[in-house]
Amino acid sequence: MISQGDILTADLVKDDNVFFSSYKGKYILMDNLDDKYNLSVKGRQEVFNTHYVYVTVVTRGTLHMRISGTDVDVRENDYIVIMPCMKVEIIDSRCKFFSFLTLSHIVNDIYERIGASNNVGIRCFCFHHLTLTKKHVELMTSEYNRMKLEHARENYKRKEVCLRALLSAYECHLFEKLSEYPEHNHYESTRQREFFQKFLDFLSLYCKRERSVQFYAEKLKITPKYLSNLTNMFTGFSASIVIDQYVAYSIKRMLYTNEHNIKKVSDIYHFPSQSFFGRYFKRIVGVSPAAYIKEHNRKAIIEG
Amino acid sequence: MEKNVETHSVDVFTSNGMVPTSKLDNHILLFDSHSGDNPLIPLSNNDAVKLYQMTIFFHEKGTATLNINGKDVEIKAGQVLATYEECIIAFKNASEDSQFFMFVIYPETVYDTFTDIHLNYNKSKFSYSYNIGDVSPEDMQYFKDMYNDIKTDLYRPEYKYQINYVRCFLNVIFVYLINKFFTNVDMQADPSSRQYDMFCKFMDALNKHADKERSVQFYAKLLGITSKYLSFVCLQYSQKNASSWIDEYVVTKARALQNVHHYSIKRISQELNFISPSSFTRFFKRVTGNPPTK
Repeated sequence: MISQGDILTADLVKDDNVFFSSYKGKYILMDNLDDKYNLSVKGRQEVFNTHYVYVTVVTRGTLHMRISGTDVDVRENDYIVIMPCMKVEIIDSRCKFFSFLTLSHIVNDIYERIGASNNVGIRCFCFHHLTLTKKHVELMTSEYNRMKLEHARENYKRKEVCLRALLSAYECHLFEKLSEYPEHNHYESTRQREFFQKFLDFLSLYCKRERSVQFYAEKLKITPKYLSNLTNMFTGFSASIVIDQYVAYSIKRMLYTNEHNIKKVSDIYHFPSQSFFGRYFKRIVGVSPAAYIKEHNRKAIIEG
Repeated sequence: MEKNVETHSVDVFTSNGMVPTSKLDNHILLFDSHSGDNPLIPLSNNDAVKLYQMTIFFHEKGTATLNINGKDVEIKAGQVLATYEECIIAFKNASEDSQFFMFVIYPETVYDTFTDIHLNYNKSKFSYSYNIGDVSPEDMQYFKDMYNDIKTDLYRPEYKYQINYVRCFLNVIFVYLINKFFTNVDMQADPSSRQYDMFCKFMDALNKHADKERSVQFYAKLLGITSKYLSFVCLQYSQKNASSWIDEYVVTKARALQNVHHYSIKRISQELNFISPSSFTRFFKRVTGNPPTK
């Protein structure tokens, strides 16, 4: 089993050079914007993030990151969003930044609610890197500070609704101008990259029926071994692990909406039996589907 | 001259020469006194009007007096007043140093916001009522910042997510108000529940027949249930029984006729199907404690 994403934040709690706040592990904020924190950011070991959409904005200096083997320099006024299923490593840097991590299902929910899901759906195994204008960054910072304020308010009924609403407000401001910024491209458009993109496309099409490396290799008209080489190059995992993670991610999304019972979900994904489905899910995610629903489902927001 | 009260919901905020600080047509209007002028002044000593929007009035400094549903209400510094649809409001006066900011929210937006926070908006549960309460200085500042952000946002040329942006903040404000004023009310009524369905039907029937019928039996018969069960259902969802719902509805209708149309008591008693003016007076006094002449 691969280590899971929560570790991304585990050693941050002890770091007193960063502001850190977490609401039930669903909404996490961290920054060093305040003057009392200095510019240096300690390096953090590589973690595999499966749960969160990880957004970082740098307001000053440069943040060095390594994302699934690709070195990325996040410069002043840069905005980077790292989707689930990516390995993230932070290398010693000097910068002022703020970032927040939100469970990917919640972000999906927000996109759907504000009607942006058509343009910017969440896809695993990728990240987006943009340079914003100075003015836009200031706007985003003020929205971030409001989220921080809301985090600091003492607990009350339906606090989660408020947190989500403020995050939506943030996303509204972001999407307003998003199409105006060109995206930084960190991959040369080689043949290998093309194959990898195609593989992800096929995954999103067929993940409900097929989970064998053989099938996807045939679809791409390459050998399974070469496919594994490709995934290793771009994610650091073999093809079968990438398929498993992708399927788990898409199952988790379905469990979150909680529209179907577990039996139905297992049928939708063409598992031979419910118990096989349970074992498969537990092997990858670490908890059983029932336990997962109990912890993460849309309804919990209403009652929270 | 047969006039229906319902048609007299006026959009006072746009028809009376009032200029909102900022607005998004048919969604939200904003008013404030931050520029030094009090935009409510032209309204003072006007006739009472029935509003179809919801208003949230944050009062920072000074005092203001309003007449809501026939009652004088004074708002002091550091208080919030929320009035819901169909309130009958007359603005009386405000002290010189009065400072406030106010949201006027149109019904569709109220409805949408309730959907956003996963609650079922039931018009009948809120209409004709208002709430007033204290706001801590920190919260006041928090909402003022929010108000200013909405304001600057609405000034900018329209963009795709504008209404979504505004609704996000309304979510936060609504959650605050609900936690403040409706802690004991079951806001999460299940729309598929039969009892809740019954309650909504009763409210609709009340809206239709309140000027003709005032007996619980009539409504119970209309819904095909016993009057005891009807009262039980009402208590379940509103902490008021059926007969007090009917009484209050009739009184509000009477007040509306009196304040908006300046009908005489005789005329009102005819409109509301009372046998005589004196029986109307007795009814009114029993429910409110004061005779209708006041």
